[in-house]
Amino acid sequence: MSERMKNGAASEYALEIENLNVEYHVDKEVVHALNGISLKVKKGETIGLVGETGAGKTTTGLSILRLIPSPPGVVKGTIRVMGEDIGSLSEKQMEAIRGKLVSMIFQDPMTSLNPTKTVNDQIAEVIRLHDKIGKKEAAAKAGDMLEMVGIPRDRGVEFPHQFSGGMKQRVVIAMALACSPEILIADEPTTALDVTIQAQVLDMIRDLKKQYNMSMIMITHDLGIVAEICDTVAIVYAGSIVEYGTLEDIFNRTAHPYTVGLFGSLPNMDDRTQRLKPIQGLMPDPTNLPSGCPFSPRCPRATAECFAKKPELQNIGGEHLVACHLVKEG
Amino acid sequence: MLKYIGKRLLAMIPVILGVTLIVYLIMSLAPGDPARTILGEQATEEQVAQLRSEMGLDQPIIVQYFRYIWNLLHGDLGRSYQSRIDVSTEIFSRFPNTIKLALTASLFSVILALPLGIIAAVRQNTFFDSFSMFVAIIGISCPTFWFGLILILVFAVNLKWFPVSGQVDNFKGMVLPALTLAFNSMASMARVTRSSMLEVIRQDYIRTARAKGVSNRNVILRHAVPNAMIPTVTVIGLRIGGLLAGAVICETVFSWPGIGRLLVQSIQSRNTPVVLGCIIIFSICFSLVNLIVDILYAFIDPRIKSQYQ
Amino acid sequence: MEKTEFKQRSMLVETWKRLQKNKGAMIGLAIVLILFLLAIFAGVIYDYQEDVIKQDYNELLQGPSAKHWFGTDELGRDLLARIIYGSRASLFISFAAVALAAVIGCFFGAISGYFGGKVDSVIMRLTDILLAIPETLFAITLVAALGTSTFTLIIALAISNIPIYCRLLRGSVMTQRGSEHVEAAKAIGARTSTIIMQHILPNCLAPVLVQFTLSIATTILTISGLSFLGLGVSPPTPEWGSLLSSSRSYMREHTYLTIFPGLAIMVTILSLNLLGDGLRDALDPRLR
Repeated sequence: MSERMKNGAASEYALEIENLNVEYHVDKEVVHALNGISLKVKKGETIGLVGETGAGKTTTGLSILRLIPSPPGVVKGTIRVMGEDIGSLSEKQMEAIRGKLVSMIFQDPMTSLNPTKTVNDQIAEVIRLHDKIGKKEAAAKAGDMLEMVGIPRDRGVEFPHQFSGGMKQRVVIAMALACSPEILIADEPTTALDVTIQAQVLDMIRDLKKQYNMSMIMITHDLGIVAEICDTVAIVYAGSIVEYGTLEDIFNRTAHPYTVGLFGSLPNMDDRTQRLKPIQGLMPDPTNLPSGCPFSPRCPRATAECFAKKPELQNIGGEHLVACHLVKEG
Repeated sequence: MLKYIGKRLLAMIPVILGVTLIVYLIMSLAPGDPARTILGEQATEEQVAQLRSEMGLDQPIIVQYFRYIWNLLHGDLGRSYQSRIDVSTEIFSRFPNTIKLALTASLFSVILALPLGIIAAVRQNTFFDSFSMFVAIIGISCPTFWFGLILILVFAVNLKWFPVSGQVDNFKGMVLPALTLAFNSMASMARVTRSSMLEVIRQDYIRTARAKGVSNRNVILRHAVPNAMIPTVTVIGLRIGGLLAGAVICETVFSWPGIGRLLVQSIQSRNTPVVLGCIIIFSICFSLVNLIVDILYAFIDPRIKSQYQ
Repeated sequence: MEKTEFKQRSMLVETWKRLQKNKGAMIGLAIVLILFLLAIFAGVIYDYQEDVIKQDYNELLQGPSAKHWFGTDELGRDLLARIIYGSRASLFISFAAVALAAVIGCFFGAISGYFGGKVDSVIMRLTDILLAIPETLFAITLVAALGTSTFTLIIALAISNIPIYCRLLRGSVMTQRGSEHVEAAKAIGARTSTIIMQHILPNCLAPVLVQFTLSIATTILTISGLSFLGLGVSPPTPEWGSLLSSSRSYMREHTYLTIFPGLAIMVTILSLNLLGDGLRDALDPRLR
């Protein structure tokens, strides 16, 4: 919260996304991956993108780097990084942004590193691309980065297969932070790791984020992680944001039935006799979205209106936005 | 690294022994008595028996085999029945020609196949992709000797750009034979390169490289290609081995004075020692090519290299 | 049991549907079928003695015409008739050899993969050795020792194809062996032979089928190569490779003698390769 207070006065955003739509055209079918996502991230702020697998979280992350493969992807909408519209940039200008202004940590560290290059080379590569320095200096800085993420620098000559999963993710993080980016996109950075390692890596990400004063987009399905490191939260469902607000808004003034459902799926430590309340059913097929509210087929409280019309995001106090016909303003 | 090479070398020895033993055993099935062949119809039974024991033919086949290998290690492959010419002299005078042809063809096919496969994969589903893969499937479907004959018809007989039969000592005379021999292996290398590139391009680490801001060109050249080379090298090795076998046919088409043609001529004239020598030399070469590929592997794939550090 | 059968049938249907979408594979399949029919019914179209063997000195080296679509050879025999009859030799030898190789190779591969241990390492060393001799060279060796005959050719080509199937099946069996449905069969006390025949082999058939198609293609190429060298099918029996070999002396003036038999080989191999590629893609939808 303190981060927000500091930067709050200067209302400048590190990242603004307006009405982002992403479709994939595959075999005459259209997959609607993202359907009008808008969000803003202030400098130094951490936003959590929360949702089930396939909700479009990773697609959002890749769109910010303009890495949606096209074809088959079709991207519409505006994305501004540090005030600059990336849609109008050339590929070359975009390359200068990737890894420098915006970095991404991918979900699976096991497959995210190039198996035929040494760890040090992979970190040094991003440094040499963006900071115009010599080979030796870049290698030395790569060694510094390794030490910063808790790996002895002399292990830099080794290849990824010689590292454990947690160590690999540290390498990926070192690579992402090597050029001190303004925005860090962390795509489920701990999902593929053992539980004990998860906490270590998460702590490290949080500390480094403070140290570098970055904005961060934390993509996750784990509300525990959200509670620990996010300032604001966007709940994503079937390619749309269904609820958006501060950490308190989401946790204490939960409004959307889907968010309620997400909390209901967590075990309650204080009252273990209470049964879990999983959300019934599955996410809708993105090639065939329901015409009304995307959550309506699974919503326990859905009304006729919910099936007929897709609800818009509406402000229900402060910056708390909800897309649900059942929640009234105020 | 040395340990790895040493291990591969050791593993190669039983294979070479096994291969040569099989070849030796099969060739010993050939009808006719070598001693009788050498001495002719007029010789007496005693004379034949004497020569048989001099040649060691009365000993068990396995003893004969090991003696053959022992002599081979000393550069002696016996004498040809008819002309009594030293087989090793005959074979090793032609051996460089076959190597020359095979190396040139390997070079042609690698140089053509890799860029073709890589570009086809990068531009998947474009005209270039379909066209080069069409050429490639023609390449693996086209019989070597027919392709050679067609090349002769078009470029030697009609256009007169190249000589009709191969010439060992000038480049112009090598182009058609080498192209003929290369076409098939080029095609299958290009196909494998393309499919392993397609596989690699989908990998997460390629996305990581793009996210780092690496340019498209360098993502392909520095990240995708080295990884795609791992399966490609296996096929290159197999193909170069197959190329040696193809040399037998290609040398016949172009009257190339190599051991492939010597082999075919010797079979027709029933000169068993020369046939045996040629086949043994071919199979040893084939095994050595496999060994070289195994070693190359260690340089490309760090996972193998690090196992032996 | 009924359920697994149902599952397998639907898998076949799925594969067939995917195969139908692949234009190249369907063209390949059509051509392969036509070639088969031509080979089988060659006797209906042409009389072997009259059209294929009998020499006709009035019709020497005639170019393609309405009477002889592909022209006639140096002994006045109809080239098309000889090419069609020639397909019989190629198809028969390659099918016999590859089928033999597939049966023997799969048998040893299954044993090797299922039992592992010493049996496995002995079989694998043997396949290493066989793999170290190229198909053409092995066939040449056998022919050089035993002389040319259809039987020698089949044996030689079968032996050199064995290791491929052995390896292929060993690999699939090893994967299958650890899978849950096999564990389950073991747990209910099924006999080893039952497990191999009913639970493991049916799941290994797809790659064998693909390899079968591709082996037929390479084997036909090898046969024609050997015949070209005079080490395969011997005259006067027509074979594509030997047709090409004898055309060499007339190549300059009578190009059609060289072009048509070669085209026949290429079209056949091309169709088999297209079909094999298509089958592989259809059976493994992950690719593409």
